[in-house]
Amino acid sequence: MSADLYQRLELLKRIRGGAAGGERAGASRSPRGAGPGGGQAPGLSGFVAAEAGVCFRVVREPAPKLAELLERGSPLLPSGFGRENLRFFDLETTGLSGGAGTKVFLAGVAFLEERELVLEQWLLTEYGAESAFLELIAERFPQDALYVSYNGKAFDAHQLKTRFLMHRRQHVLRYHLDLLYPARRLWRSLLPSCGLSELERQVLEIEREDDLPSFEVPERYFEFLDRRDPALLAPVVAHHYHDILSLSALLLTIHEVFSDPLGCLERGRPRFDTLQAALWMLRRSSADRLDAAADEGGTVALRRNAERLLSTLLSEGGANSEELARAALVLGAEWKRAGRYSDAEALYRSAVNASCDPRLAVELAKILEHQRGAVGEALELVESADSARCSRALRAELEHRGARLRRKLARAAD
Amino acid sequence: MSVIERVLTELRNDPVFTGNVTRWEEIPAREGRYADLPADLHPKLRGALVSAGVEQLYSHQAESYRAVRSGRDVVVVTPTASGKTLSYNLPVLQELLSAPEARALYLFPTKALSQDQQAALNLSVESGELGIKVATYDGDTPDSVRAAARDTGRIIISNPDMLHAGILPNHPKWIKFLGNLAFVVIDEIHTYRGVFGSHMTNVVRRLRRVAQFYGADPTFICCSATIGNPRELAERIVERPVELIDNNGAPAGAKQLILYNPPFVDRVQGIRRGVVQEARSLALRFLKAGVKTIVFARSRLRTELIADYIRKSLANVYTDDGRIRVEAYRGGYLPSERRAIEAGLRDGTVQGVVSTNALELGIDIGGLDAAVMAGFPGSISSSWQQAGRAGRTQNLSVAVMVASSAPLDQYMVKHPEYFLGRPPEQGFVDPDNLHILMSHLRCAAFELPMQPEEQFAPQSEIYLQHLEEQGTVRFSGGAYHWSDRSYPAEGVSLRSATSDNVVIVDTTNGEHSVIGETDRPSAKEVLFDNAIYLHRGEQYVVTQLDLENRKCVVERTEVNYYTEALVKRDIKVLHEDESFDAGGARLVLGDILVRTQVAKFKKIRFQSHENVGYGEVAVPEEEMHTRALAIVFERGSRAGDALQELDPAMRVPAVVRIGALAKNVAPVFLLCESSDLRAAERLRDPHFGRPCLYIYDGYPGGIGLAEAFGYKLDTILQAALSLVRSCDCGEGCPSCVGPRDPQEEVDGNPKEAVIAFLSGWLGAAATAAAEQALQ
Ligand SMILES: [Zn+2]
Repeated sequence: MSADLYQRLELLKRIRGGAAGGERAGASRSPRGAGPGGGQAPGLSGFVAAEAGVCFRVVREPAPKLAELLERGSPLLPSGFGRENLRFFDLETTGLSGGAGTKVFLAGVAFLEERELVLEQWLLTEYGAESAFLELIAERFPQDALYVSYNGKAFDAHQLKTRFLMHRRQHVLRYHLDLLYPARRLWRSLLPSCGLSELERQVLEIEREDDLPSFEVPERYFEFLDRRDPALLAPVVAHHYHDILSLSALLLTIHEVFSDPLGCLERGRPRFDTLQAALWMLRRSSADRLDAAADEGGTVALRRNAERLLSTLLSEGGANSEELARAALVLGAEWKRAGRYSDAEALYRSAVNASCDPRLAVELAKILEHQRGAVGEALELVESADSARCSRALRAELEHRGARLRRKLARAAD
Repeated sequence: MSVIERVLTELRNDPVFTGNVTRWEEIPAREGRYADLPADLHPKLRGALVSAGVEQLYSHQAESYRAVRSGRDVVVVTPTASGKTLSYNLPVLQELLSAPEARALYLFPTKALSQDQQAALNLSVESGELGIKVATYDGDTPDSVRAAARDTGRIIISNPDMLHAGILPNHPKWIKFLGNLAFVVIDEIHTYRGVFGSHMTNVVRRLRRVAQFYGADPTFICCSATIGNPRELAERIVERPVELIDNNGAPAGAKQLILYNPPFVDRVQGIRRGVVQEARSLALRFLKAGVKTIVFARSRLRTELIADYIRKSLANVYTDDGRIRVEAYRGGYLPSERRAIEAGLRDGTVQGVVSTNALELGIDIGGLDAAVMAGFPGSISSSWQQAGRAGRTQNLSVAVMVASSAPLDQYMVKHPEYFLGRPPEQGFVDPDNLHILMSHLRCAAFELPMQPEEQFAPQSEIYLQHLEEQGTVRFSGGAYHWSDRSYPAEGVSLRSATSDNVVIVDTTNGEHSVIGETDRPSAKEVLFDNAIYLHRGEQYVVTQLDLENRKCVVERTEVNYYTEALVKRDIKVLHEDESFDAGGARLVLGDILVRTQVAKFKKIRFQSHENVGYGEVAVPEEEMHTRALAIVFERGSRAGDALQELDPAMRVPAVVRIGALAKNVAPVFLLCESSDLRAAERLRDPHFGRPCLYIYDGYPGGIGLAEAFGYKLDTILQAALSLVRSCDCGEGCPSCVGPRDPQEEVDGNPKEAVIAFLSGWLGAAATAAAEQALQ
């Protein structure tokens, strides 16, 4: 090393010394020349070595309810996916910011066999073995399965794809059932956050003991790489294991809400956002989603349940007037599409009394004008609508409609 | 006689005007040199060119085409209006047409300016209906179109910041693009100098490394404005031999360059008429005669003021075509506003524009006939760029530089031979600057594991080992792997300025519309509560500056004054790391806090520019924590004694000038830009209790310039002494210790004082060495 360079490095150490910049206490030099270290399983309970630098374990958990769900089918599952190609999955990574430098070191996948959930965890214990690690997990993560995850569609699946690409390999998890989206719908308005741990506590009623917070996971792993102490990783592995178990519990609970919403309401467990649930169910069962091959019975049930939910929401109160108006608008539109004009009219009438949303008045006026020919009453409604609460577009529509109704009335009087 | 000839004749016959002209230079017209369209040109491309009216190339375009086609990296030196874009578009489009998978990356230095869109426009013109998809990918690109841009864009237009923090760290998303990357175009390469350029070299290293991983080795096409060492700079940035193409074949009309010194208002006190008024009246003369004019102002405030004055003076003036439209143009306008102004200039609906240096670079605004510089733009090369904004290929054009009373401006107008004769500035970079290299080494290790034998930079494995000791990389399986949870590019900014902006919201009559934005430090200086903010001819009063939420609320108003902040800068020593005697002075290396505080503002009346009041400002200080070298002149040291020996009245001027001189000399030794370094002098420094000169890094956290300055102090001072001795000027000039400043009220000759001071400081031996160097 040249003197000049040495001096510069010394300088560098002084400048950086004590600065925060990504330093870890007790960091030691990596093993050099040993190739991918840790040929043995690192002494973690249940793990066995697969290859140098990669180990795994398999755990079986009884899962009768899940088996039942998969036998009967669920509105949550797209057609074509059943027990043989359904996978729960979750990854642990060396960082959360993504990008080429964030590595996957723990990959978990679970599937149903008989009435048991078979849960596999694959652990990378040295970066140099990443290629072998990916080789092994490629088999365990078939590209055409349906992957149930929590935020796995946007983050984990992408990370995995990146790792494969870095090793010049295309491996893409194509189909996803990311429970984050339905969970947000059902619980966002009721919970301070929609993190998995929050859902566990408040909805799934699972209490974890001594759980390692997610943000500590990368540091634990780095420390493990330096010190090779399996005790450091044990909490990470346990955390990851429970995350996957929670996925199956969450799937069951969301399924329960969507397949028996009224029962859930009656029991009061789990609580959920009734309006959002109904809206989701309506969308899922809307006519354009029906195809001949699909289970028509299930869709019809879904729609019936959604309508019941909305009716409950409208009749039993408990919803604020904004929610109420939204529910009435959605349900009314649904009924109009089905030609159930009297039902829609009754619905709008009761809603107009409970909420002063001018959109309800407009909808009711439309039915009165076009279906009942009650032009006078329609005009009355339009004129009394609270235009202060209108958007600009709606105000224009009110004016336009009012003018037309007046012309109609005048013509009728001639 | 053309309009412009008529106005120039009028000016020549106006004794009041010519009385203030210190130089009237005629730059003769230049014949164009042409070449046929290349024989091997793809028929589609040929067709597109011919239908766009291009039947021949300028010689430099043909040269560039040949060199790039044969696989050589090039740098094309292109003055304004020389058909620059075609010199890279042509070879790129040719390849993209014949190799259906090939891709190209165009890099422009600005983050938000319109050049990128401009480039896209030129491309679409030059490529016609070639069906080659061009996509812009920068911070403003909506998420919804990013994936499509990556996957289908054959030409991606971006900037170094995006490449550094967005593209490279996520390269697996870019496989298709990077794996087929055939060209990298680096436009305006002369802007990558000093620290910015040192970052750029490392970004190019990273780009090449990732491209190589995917099997690509792109050719580099660089474009540069006229600088002293274009090839050397390009070779430092690309780190390969680069062919220089500087035979500009574009024709140019004759140009008249006028250096103008405003007349005295008060000869005794040496007060001249203000640059704002003078620039306005000149611009008015041109505009009223129907000459399309651009005025360059040195600040955003001046831009608005001059534009406003011109508009008011033109309110009742009509030409054959109706009203004369004049627009202001500067950073801080919304992109849509800028686009509209640029388009107006091109199609002729806007006849005049007043701009900051934002329009100095390559945005196409069509041909203008007159350029008025309201003040010396700060560097010779900037002056030529701005002057070049006037002038079309055929016609006569004029550029006028109106001097302000600042010493530098006065020097330029009084020494036209200096202004005209000085070679353009050189650009230096130091990519192996320890701080910069370490930052990018971290990024590179994040992007791909790094093998020990890989030559990212000279001896980079030593640095990798250091990172390994820190625990941010880990050696495994024969390579260093990134082993940290962070995203290193996030913490590395290629520029000194902070990127967080304050948006300006107009709430007049309960509206809520964003009218512009500005960076945080300047927000404190122009958008404090009760400030008058000028925007496109409207006055607004600031009702609330909310720095936390990066928002400034303004309302329309009408007052007869504008506001100017009084800025105070002070230095606090935070920590002394090291103190040593070297070169006859005590040197202290350490951390300092540079605080910039706006505590007051002045209200200045429009037109008369008199001060009509003050106001208080309550904004938090802008702080920069950086590294500094303090040169302490202690008694008993050679430097301290040399200072004592000076006439007491000359001590401050001498120390100030050592700072200026050091900034002139140091870039050669530190491979930086003069502006990367800062200097501040204290005759009675509160921390050291002695006269002292601070040299510090203009970058938060410092990047090692102050340290390097300390290690090379002897060499720098010797070079400084020989420079100032050999300089032909009498009492100092911009090349040595800086021009004389009348405000200083110094009787003696400051240049002599500096020579005496430095000679005493360096001692007999060193002085002899400096003498030696001279011979
Ligand atoms: Zn000089």
